[in-house]
Amino acid sequence: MKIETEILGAGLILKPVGRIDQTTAPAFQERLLAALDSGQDAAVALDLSEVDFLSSIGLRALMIAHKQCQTSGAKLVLFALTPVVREVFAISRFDTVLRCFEDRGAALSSLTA
Amino acid sequence: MRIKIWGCRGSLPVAMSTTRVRAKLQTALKAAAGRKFDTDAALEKFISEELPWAATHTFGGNTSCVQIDAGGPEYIICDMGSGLREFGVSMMAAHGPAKPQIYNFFMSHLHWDHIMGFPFFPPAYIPGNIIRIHACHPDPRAAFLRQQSAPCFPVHLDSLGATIQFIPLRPDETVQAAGVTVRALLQNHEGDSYGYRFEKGGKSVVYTTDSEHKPEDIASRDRFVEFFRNAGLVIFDAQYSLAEAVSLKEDWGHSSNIAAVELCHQSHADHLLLFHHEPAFDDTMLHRIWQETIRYEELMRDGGAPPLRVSSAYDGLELDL
Repeated sequence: MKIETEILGAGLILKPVGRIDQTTAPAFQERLLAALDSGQDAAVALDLSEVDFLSSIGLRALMIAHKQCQTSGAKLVLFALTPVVREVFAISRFDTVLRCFEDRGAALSSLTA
Repeated sequence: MRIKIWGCRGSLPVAMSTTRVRAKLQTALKAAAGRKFDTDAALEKFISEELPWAATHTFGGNTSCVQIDAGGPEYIICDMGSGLREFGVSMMAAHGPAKPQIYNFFMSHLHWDHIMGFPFFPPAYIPGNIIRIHACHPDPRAAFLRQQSAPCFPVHLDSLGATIQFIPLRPDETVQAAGVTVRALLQNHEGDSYGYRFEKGGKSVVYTTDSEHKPEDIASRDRFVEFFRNAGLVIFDAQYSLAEAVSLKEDWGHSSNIAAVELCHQSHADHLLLFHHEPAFDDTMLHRIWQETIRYEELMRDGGAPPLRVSSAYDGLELDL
């Protein structure tokens, strides 16, 4: 899958495009964890506007990233969830664990707050 | 083939509290305010068609016990949770003490919530009855003996009137038992657990509880997809949300509605039955999870694929395959 990257001060905006499933989740997880691995100042805003499908292994990758942040002090926020992904987050209860924002501005503001 | 749920709750039996009974009453009375029901039939129609499901039903609180009626003369039951007591009472009502029966139990594992009903199973006390306990675990008798000896219970296992036989099974082997074809599969659970696939006359049901599915374990996924393949019904442990199952409750040995739908889709099963419900959840929450699972199935279904029917187990539910 394609993951677009935009440098954001000390952190990054990552924008995966397409499906995060059994085939693509390992590469997505590797890229996400690497971006979060630059220490306690690391910050990643994940733009999910182009993700139209997220299976359980993709959700697990997000949970692993979340746990890494809890340990390292890095920050991870998500924004621009598509309606389908938003529903999947609600059904799986990931919306109670991960910090999700409507748009890029709100997500970036939360990282600098 | 008919399936009857005698106990659907995970981990621990629960009872409905007065607070929850009153909440159901409030919902019903508010909905009925200003209405007039001239006949019992009109009232029944109102209850069935206009009140929320959670106001007119309860999922119940008994732990795992599922009857599989394949039409043969012997009984087939999966697990001996607290629901077994009511099944046993119904057997006494149906047969009394004078008509010996054969009961075949298939044990997922020997944790307490899956064997606690046996001391309260009246047919076990009746001479002439035959109780066959099929299990993949080594020495299952030890668990029953520990449960039914001092100081845990006043009636010792060896003093029961029925003839009790322990039948060893091996996973991945197909055997004939009680008039059906049975195959067991090793599952991921502390101390191991086993799922069972029962087949007869082209019908199939999979009983798979206390089984954790890790999204990253592809080899395990493939084994279960094969085990569930084209099943008419999959009775599936969906105790946790996926968020819990991959974080706080990882390695606790249970799974989620998300894993259930994914595996059933991949195996082209016809019907998913959510099972082993979280004891902390009330009827409203369990009904919400059921409806969310139906929606998740819609979202995840490949275009053109037939829909997977999604139900949620409750004590007393009967399903025909």
